Amino acid sequence: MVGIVDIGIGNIQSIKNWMNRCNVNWEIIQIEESLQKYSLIILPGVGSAKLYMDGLISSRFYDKLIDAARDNIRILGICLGAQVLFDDLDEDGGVKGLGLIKGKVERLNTLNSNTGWIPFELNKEHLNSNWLKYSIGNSKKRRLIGRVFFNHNFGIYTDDNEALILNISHSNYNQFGALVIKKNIIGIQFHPEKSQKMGEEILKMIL
Amino acid sequence: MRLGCVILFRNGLCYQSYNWSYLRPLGKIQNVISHLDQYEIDEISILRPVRCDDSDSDFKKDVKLLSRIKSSTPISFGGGIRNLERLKYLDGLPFERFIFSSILFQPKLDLLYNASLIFGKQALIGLIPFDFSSEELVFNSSTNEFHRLNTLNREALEICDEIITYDTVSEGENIGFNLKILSKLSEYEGKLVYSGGISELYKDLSLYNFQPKAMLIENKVLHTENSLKAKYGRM
Repeated sequence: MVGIVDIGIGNIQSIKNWMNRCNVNWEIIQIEESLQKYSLIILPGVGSAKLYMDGLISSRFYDKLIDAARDNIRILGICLGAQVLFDDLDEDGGVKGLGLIKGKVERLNTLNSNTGWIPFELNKEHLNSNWLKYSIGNSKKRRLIGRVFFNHNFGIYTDDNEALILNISHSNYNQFGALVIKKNIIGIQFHPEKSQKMGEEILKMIL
Repeated sequence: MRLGCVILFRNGLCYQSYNWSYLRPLGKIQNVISHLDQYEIDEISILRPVRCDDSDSDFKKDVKLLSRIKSSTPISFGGGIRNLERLKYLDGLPFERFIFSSILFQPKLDLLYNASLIFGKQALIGLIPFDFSSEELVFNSSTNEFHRLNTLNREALEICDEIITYDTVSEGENIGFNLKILSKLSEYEGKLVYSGGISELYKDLSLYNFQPKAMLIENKVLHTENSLKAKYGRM
């Protein structure tokens, strides 16, 4: 069972549709319930950093997510949900994140956002060596090659020795992380739920 | 550059529009979206073609229908996002970005700043419907009137992450997008998106010299039973 964190902001409906397309059982997490029953917890993300972190704190998910990470429960953050996994975020004048991965989130060196499709490749080897697997996985594919959809102003950067980061180098922007894996934590800067077939394959491989 | 599509939606139905005046029903929106998903189009913009007669109840009714959309393609939505109450009603929609038009004429920009706080600056798109056939005019939907280009609030344009320039004269026609507007908005070149008169893509290849962020084909594309990808290759 996949649990989705709902703090009242973000494109939750897109995440639900993504799960349904991939035939994955999911439910919205009730704060009173134990997180142990979930094979994966998803932090969706569309919004601004301060509002998001305030929402995590006021909904009491902040402490619960830190405990879950310590208990080796798998957590997947998407876009802003991935950015709040880090220590510090530049957005909104500076915001403290969950600190589950050492690193920071900085503004891209461009006036406008990075909005569009970028080629991306994911090997099962990346996950096998770094991702705390729940089962043998739903995907038999060893390598995914396709394009993924980005929509962000800030990029993720890590100096965490335990984390593997897959960077994107683009002529218009400074290099930034597209996907970061650290044991049971995975952060995805792009929107897999809106990356068509490639996004569905990524979810199957992660599960 | 991204290649997308504009869908007009109001009162539960999709429409094809000609010259910003005539609407022709196209059917249920989920059918249209599913069709475009199969094309693997880069993005979809859903616009409510509303004017000064738009009511809160109509807006909420349309948003409720849109909340049921199932799509794996990035979607932006606009048309009638004119006050804070309507802005809050957008929470939970399966869309990443939101389109604002009437606010671009307002002196106070609280709505845009609040939208930036809720959805992030990367989610804000401005829409400028224009008619440059004789004078340099831009359309304000909330008053249902064309105004001179210099009535736009430049601060609002600065806040928006992208700006859709929508040629109302060429809409639904094969006469091509009017490039005149680009020289008038040259300071925003890095964030311009073109739409209106883009239907016949091969005629508009000259647009690439201006490096738009995206081109949005108005919903006439739905009558072409060929995959855009197969016909023109990945853009």
